[in-house]
Amino acid sequence: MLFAKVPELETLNSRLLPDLFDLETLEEGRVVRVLDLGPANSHTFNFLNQFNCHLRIVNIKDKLCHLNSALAEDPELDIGQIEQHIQSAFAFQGDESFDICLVWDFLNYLDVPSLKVFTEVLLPHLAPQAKLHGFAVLNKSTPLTEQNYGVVDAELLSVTDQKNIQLPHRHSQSAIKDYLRGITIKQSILRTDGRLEMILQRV
Amino acid sequence: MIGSTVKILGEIISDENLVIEGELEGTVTVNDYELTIGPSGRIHANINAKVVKIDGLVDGDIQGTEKVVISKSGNVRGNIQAPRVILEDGGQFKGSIDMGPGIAAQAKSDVPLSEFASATKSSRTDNPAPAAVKSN
Repeated sequence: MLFAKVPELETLNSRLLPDLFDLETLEEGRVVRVLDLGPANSHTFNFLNQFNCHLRIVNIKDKLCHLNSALAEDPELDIGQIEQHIQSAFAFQGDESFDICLVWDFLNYLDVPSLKVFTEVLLPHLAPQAKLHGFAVLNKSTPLTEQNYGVVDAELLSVTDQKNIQLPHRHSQSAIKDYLRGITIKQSILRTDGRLEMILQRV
Repeated sequence: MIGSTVKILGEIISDENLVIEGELEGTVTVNDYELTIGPSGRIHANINAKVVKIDGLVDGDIQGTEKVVISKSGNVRGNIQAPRVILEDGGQFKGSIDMGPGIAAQAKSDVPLSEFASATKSSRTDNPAPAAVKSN
C-alpha cells in the first residue's frame, strides 16, 4: 500500500522574531493587526490567540504563481498588468492597514519588476513603523525549495519543507534594499541553510 | 440535525446544539449552544453561536462567543470573530480573524462584537437571507 509523503515539520529558533512580536506591547491589550501572506497555520493561530489580534490570511502563493505563468507566456507584460495580478493577490479591503506583515519566502516568487510593484501595492496598507518578517535566498547554489511557516512562540517558527517545490527567484540583500522602496532592512541574519532572515520596517 | 440531503434558504434560530450536514444559504443563530458543520455541510451564511465547529465548507462570517474550531477537513472563507480560534492541521482558512481576550470581554458585554476591531475594515455582509425553507 502506498502512502502520500507527509512534508517534514521542523522548528526554527529565531533571534529576530522577538523584535517583531514585542510581548510587552502585545500584552498591553491593544489590537495588533497582522497580515500573513502564507496559508493559514495552526501554530500561528495558537500563538496569536493569546493576544487581541486582527489576523488576515491572504495565502498569496497561487496568485503569484499565476503571475509567473503569465510572465512566462508574455515576458513583455506591462507594469499595469503586473499590478492587477498583485492587487488581486492581496485583495485589500478599503484602507485597512497592518502593524505586522509575515512575508515568509514570497519575495522569492517575484522577479525584480514584480518586486517593485509588490512594494507599491503593499506600502499604503502598512501602518507607520510597521514591521515585516521574511526570508531571501542569496546564494545561487542554495536549494530554493518552498517552505511553509508558522509562529510557535515569540522566538520559534514551525517550518514545513515542501521538498519538491522550487522557488522561482532569488534576490541579493542590496537588490532588496534597492527595490523595496519605503521599506528598510532593520536586522538580518544569514541562516545555516543559506536563507537570509530579515526584519524589515516601513520608514 | 439537518441531514445531508436537506437544502435550506433562510434563517435558522436554535436554542439547542445543532449539526448541519446539508446545504444552507442565509443565517444561523445558535444562542449559547454549539453549532457543528458536518463534513458534508455546505454553508453560505453568517453564523452566530457559542461554539462553532467546522468539518465542512463555510462561506460567510462567523461569530463564536467562546471559540471557533476549523477541523482538518474544514474549509472557511470569510471573517471570524471569537476569543479563541483553533485550526487543526489540514484545515483551510482565507479571510480575517478578530481574536483574543478582548473579544471574550466584548462577548460578555452588550457591545456588539463587530465594534471590537473598529480600526479594521473586515465587514462582509453580502449574504442573502430569503425566508424560504426547502427540503429534498
